Amino acid sequence: MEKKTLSSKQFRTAKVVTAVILALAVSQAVVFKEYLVAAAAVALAFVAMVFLKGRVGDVLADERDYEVGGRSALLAMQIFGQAGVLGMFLFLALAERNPAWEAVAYTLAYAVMLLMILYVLIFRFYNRVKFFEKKVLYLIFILMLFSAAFLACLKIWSL
Amino acid sequence: MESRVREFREKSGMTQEELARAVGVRRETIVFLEQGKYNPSLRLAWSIARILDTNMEKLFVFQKKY
Repeated sequence: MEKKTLSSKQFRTAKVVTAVILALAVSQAVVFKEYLVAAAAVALAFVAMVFLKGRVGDVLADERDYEVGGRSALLAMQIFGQAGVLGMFLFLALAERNPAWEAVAYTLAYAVMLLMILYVLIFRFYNRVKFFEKKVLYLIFILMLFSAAFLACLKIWSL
Repeated sequence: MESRVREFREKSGMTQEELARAVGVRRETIVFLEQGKYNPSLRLAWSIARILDTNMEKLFVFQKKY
């Protein structure tokens, strides 16, 4: 029996419908404080998406999409980084008038810093695996570094 | 870069969709390729040349700049 396949358009529609249903389910679950139901809905949607993606007959993304995606991600990161740093200084300056802005400034600063660390690590990962086929080792190294950075941030934050 | 993909594709009687499927990319990529707005990877250029029964030098013409 021939396996039924989805077109990329059908998959995109299914993705939107799933997102809407998921948003409804999670919001209702949170309103009624049923957090387990919310987590189950997210897991179910994830499994459904993986299942549907496996049945798509068309090409969903090709090398041009990856190239455009890479450029977009870099530009988005640069814009967020520069805007985040400017915002941090602005909110720190405003903190003299209202101390609440200080928390916003530090949140922005840590968000920018974490994004930069993540970008550098992922960049190094993709850059290196081409030369060294020790993917697992490098992944463990990246995870350890990122965890250390994250813990350091939490520690600084809790001071 | 001047692209002659359209010319070779039409000669072989293929549609953009068919060529895209044959080389495993989206139709939009073939559209951009034919307009000369996208530089394909070596692998994609080679695949297209093979499908259209030609070679890369005939398919993509580079203007010498240096």
